[in-house]
Amino acid sequence: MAFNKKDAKDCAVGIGFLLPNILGFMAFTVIPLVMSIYMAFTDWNLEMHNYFRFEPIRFVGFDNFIKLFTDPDFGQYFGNTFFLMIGIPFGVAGSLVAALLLNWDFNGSGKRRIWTTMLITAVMIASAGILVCLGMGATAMTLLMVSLIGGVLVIGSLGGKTVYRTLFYFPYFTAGVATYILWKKLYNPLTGPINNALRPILEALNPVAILIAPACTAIGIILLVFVGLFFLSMVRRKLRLWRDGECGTLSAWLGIALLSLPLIFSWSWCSPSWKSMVEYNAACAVETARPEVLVNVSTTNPNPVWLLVMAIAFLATGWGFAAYRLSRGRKYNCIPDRAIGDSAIVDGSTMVGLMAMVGIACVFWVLPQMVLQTNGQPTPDGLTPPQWLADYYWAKPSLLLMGFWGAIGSNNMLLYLAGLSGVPQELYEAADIDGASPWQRFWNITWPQLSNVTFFIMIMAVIGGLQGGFDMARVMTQGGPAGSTTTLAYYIYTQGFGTGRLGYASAVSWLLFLLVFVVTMFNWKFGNRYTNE
Amino acid sequence: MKKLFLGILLLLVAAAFYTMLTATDRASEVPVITWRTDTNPQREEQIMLFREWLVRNGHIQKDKDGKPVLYTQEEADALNAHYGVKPGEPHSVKAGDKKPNGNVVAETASNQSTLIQAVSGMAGDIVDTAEVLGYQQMGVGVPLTEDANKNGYGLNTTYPGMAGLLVGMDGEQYAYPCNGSSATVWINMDTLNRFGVKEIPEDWTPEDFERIGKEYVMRANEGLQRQEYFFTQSLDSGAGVSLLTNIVRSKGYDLYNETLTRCVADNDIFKKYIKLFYKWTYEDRLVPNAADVASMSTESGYGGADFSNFISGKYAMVVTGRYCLIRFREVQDEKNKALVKEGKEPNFRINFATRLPPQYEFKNFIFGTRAAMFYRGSKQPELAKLFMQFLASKEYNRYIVERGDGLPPNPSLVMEELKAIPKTRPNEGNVNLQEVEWAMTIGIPGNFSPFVKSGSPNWLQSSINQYFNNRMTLDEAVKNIETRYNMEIETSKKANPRMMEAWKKDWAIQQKIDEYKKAGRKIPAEWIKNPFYLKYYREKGMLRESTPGEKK
Repeated sequence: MAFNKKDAKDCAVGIGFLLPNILGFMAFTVIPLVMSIYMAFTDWNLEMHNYFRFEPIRFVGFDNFIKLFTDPDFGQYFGNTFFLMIGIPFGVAGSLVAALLLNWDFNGSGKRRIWTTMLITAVMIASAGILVCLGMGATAMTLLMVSLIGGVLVIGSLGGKTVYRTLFYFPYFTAGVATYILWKKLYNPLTGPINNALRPILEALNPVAILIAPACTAIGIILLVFVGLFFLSMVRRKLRLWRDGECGTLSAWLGIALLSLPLIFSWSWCSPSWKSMVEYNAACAVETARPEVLVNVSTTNPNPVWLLVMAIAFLATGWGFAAYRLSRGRKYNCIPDRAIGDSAIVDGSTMVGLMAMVGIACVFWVLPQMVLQTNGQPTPDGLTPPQWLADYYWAKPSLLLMGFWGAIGSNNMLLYLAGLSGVPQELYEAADIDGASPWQRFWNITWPQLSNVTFFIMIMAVIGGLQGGFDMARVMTQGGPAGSTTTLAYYIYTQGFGTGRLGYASAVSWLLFLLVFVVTMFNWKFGNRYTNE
Repeated sequence: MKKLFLGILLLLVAAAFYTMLTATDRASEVPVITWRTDTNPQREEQIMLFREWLVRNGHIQKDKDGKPVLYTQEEADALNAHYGVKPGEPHSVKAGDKKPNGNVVAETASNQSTLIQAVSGMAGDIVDTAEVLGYQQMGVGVPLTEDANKNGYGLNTTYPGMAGLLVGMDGEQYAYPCNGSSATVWINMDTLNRFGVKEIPEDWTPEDFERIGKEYVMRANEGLQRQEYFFTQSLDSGAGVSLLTNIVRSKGYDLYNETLTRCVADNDIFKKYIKLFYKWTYEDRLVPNAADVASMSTESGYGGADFSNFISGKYAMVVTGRYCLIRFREVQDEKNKALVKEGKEPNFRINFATRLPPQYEFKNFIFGTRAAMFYRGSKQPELAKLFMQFLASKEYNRYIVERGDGLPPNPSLVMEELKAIPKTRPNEGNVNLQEVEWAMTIGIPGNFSPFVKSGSPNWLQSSINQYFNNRMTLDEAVKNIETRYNMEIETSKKANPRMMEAWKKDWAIQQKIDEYKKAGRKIPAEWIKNPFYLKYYREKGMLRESTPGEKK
């Protein structure tokens, strides 16, 4: 095809339009990116290499990467980054629920709306009354929050889903720093509204906690056993899918590996709590004249190693069973990575749920120490609300909770809303004719139809999670207490601009990139297939 | 669309040119230097003072015939408006005044931004920093020793202990103090009196601190549902590190060894006092823990939340620098203005006093400085050097004393002014003169090593934090301090061959020092790099001072 003068002119104009963007992209993305690859393999240090000092740049090979893995803090920061990602499935689930609610036309007719408004207002007034009776209305902030929630309900019931859609999206277009400062106030341990609301509830629960204190060991163990049994049942489900040709071998192993993680981590998470419980029980036995006051496993000399044995037993059973079934072959074959999305999403989310269960078991083990002294008398403070950002163990969950709040009303919700509008109505009509319940409609129509959206959201959330945490850490905690909220992104910043070791900081950045790249590749390879399955 | 695109492009180009041409240094007919400093309204006043100083010292703008250029009425009005002063007020100009032959523009930036600009050749002509040594190692500073000695801003004009903060690893002076900061205990006498606690002794130990603190906390919180009053701010902070340093130094110990080549914190003294801090925080409740701090005011600004809690009476005392006088006076002025509005007598005063931090035998006082470093990329070196001279001048030092903006850099010029302050501001006690005297006599910089980068984590504070959060035992925490700082030293050495060379040289000297100490011999003073040990050994008679002409 001939390329005439007009085409050349059009081409020049097109390039002219694109040039500013291309130049900006080159100057601020491509060139720094290439530079950072180079830096990661050199000893680039601002002390020796800057505008005024041109000492030879030494190629150090993989030294920066080796240093990274031998850095005593890197593991902690890496773990922090992953810990904060635990909130992703909850956030995605929250945004799906929000989207489903917002997709529901609850405006109805005028009469119905008035009744709804009256009902909600009555519930709100009653709730406020109960809160005041419980002592939660002690602060103006609590009352303000109750009023705010009530106001939102009333306005929503009048204005319909448009109001709610706007309100739910609020966190996303509010400036990050402003919301962080707001949450910092909410998390204030002594005067914050969250603890003001929790305090009377915990006071009310304190007698219950004292009552169940002797059974806490057993409850914790039951929860762990439940985790083990759930693991086995999910392995069984996976193998059934594999047998029926609905799941590939690779996907089956991936799912089982993900499901195994809570049991693997249970040792390191539970061991300290269990150990402190054992020590506490021993102290109780010494302190009290009647050690039988606390009826628990202490009388049988529990040992934290038991936890390890229990976890290994469940894992061995699950993996042994899987190896046995997979070695026997199956009737219906399929490609190895079939249903890999199911493994990533369903098993991944189950893994997070099981990890939460392990965490609850730990809480039960430290509960007696919170409510009972070693002499069997109740502690003066009883159950106290968490110190949130000021506490090493609560700082990360605090950020997680805040992230959950932000995730519900984020772009994910909009994507789900868009996805919901694309679900063919005839599917629902057919389900109605078949007499499907609301849950069946959701599980067999809505959820599969939204699978592509879910997969995309999950992948993007994981990428965001790997890169995130910097602004929260910078504004709310400065990476503390004791490094508990320092993420990889924050670590890169402190290494690069704190010490000037740009080579090392680049190496950390590239490791992070590698992780993000793997996730992206996963999406690219399996995203469409998951949707079609 | 094409025309619109082209139009926007031209508009942007024109805007860029306009911005470039109207930049202060291009628009000005005299040389202009940029002063990269902190956000403080007093900087503008100091710039006006510099302009006056230039004129007073004959650095005036002249026309072609060599005659002084004078302000016209319009120019004078515009300049006064620019600096927010009314005609006739101090620092204002009027028509007919001579114009200075130079100007300064203050620019604010965070430490990180300043670092990036400095290594990119884009920083201001004068860079304010507390990390002169770090910048010197990057090669972005200009050695000033010769010019400083010639023009009256040499090390002999400032505090004896300040040298460690202004001199690079090569022994050259790179900066001059703008204003000194110090770690003094500021006591709110009104708060103490309110709860009937007797005055704090002039010379007090950690035991006195604990005894008086317990009495105060008990009385102040009597009848309250939860503890609201504390003796001082959190020790899981920079103030805690400073106090710990005071205490261990008073016992003859320090974070680093004599040549600053190794951290030596893993000892019983560090353990004992970190444990004491834990006791004060979690058992005696003399100081707030992290949750208490998070629950109190989060007001920021100079002095941050600690200062607000101190003013409001939540803390009986705070460990802070003399610059907090700016805030004290602001608070007093605001309250008095409010009283006047209410038709009352403006007699509100915060009565305070200062003490050395509680410590033992070897009295020591930690100070630092916001120092002005002459940037290597400066395009106006002569004016920048004049600015350095200005910092050492009587006018500037008097200003610092009057406004409470830290310790004056050249104190000998303003002793009379310092002595006069108690007459005009009786509620401030003798803090002004007292701090200068401490700085002159027992002042030592805080912990530093040239082999540990200033941007590295504060492992001392971090380890205390880990111990306070039950993440480490006391033994582990103290071991962690030593291990982590020594790892930093190792990293710095490996990352920079020059650093490695310097370290090896100093390490060899350290071996000799250790041998001398073991043998009970006097150590040559020039071997000691750690300002604390230099002062401590000198006082204990353990040093052999070199005489002029002696071979080192």
